[in-house]
Amino acid sequence: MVRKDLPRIITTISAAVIVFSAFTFLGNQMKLTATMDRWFQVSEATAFLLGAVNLTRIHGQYIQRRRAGYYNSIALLVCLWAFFALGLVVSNKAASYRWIYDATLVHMEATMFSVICFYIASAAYRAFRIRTREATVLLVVATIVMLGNVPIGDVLWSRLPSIKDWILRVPNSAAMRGITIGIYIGGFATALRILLGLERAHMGGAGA
Amino acid sequence: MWEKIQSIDQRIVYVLLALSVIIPLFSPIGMPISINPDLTQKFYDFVENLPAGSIVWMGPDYSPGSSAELDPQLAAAFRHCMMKGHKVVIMSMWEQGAMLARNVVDPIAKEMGKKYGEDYVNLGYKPGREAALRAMVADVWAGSAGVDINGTKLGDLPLMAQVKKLDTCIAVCIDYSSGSPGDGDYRQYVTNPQGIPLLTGQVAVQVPTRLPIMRSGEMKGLIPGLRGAAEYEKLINKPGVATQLMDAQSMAHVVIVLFMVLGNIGYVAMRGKQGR
Repeated sequence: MVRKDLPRIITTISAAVIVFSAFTFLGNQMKLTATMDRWFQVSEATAFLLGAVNLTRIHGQYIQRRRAGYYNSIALLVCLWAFFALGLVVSNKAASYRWIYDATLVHMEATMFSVICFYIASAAYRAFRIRTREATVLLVVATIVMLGNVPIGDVLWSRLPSIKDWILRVPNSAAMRGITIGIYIGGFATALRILLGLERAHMGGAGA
Repeated sequence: MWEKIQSIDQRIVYVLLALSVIIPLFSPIGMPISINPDLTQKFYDFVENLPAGSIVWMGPDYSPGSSAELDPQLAAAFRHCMMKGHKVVIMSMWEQGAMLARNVVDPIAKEMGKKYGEDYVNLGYKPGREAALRAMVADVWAGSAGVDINGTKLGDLPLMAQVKKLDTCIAVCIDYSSGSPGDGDYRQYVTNPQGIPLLTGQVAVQVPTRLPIMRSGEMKGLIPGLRGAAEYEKLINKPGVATQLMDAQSMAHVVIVLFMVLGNIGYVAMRGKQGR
């Protein structure tokens, strides 16, 4: 009951309040959405702490059981709580706090993202084969867009950027509009099922 | 031989790609950069034509993974705003966005002699995604919990006396987006309902998805990826990191295209050899 029905009841009541507040004059006057928005902000901020506690519990168990690679869990927890404690002690204005952030996290995440470039290059080389007519069209369009997007496109052929712009503006926009309409209809249907309590997969159960 | 061309060791691909990026950084070629009249130029014109002293709301909604593309966009547009005498308020829906923005805008403001609290304010990261935005529309001070990124009370920042409600004081919202939450939330909860114009800076992979929205008029201008940042730097006549990186990006694209062509030459030749 507490694990399954309670979240469903809270979801349905919250949705009903928001719909009432957003679509009725009385609801607008009562400013219920504004109040719930503030609750949501506080809930999301609290969820961060909850996430940290949960992460500590899970990785604490890994360390306790000496699971393979447990030293990574030690590194994770030390970094997590040391940075948290430093922020509490010196505040996020302190140079030391900012230095740790700027010198580690920023570069590590940027590096992780940059590495994708190499995989994309390798994948493009191996996968882009003109096996069918559709694949040939895809290859030609990809080449035009890639070269038209960078200054060397202008240098190679002055009309390349305008052809690239046309591809993005006309066929691409037409396809994107269709995809977007489909996504929103699907999203609306899913949201409705969640609000009515018919969809329970997000709570660990199966949809009705 | 044709088979070999089709299956070049991926380490060779990696090395050549790395060299194509690194060499132009040390020996720039200086390829000319043309301005996209439908995207970057429109963004620039909008900021350029705002009355001096307009309040511009900026949302750096990205993480370090996208900072290579979006930091230069933010830098160029922030510099342009400062040059025109506009006031800028920054608020991020991404945990790391506001700190990244601080690293970008603080040195520019210092260089241009602009004062924090008077010419610009960084409200920091505000949790709650669309709920945070809706809260800002109703009451910026309450939605920000009354403090900026440094924990300074908004009452101690003179600029914030003019920024109470988004719909009554903001001339334009600019969102630098690399996903969700981002410009979609601004369109849904701020700019469309309140009639505030929206400009965006986008990572290159998101540009195709935003072009229909741009054409519909929901966005007044768009900076597309690193190329767009380089175009903006050219427009404000202040070449920066994006301009420097354009040659590297050009060469990387050429290397990828060459490998694609090479692989297909091998494929076609093999197919011909096998009589298929």
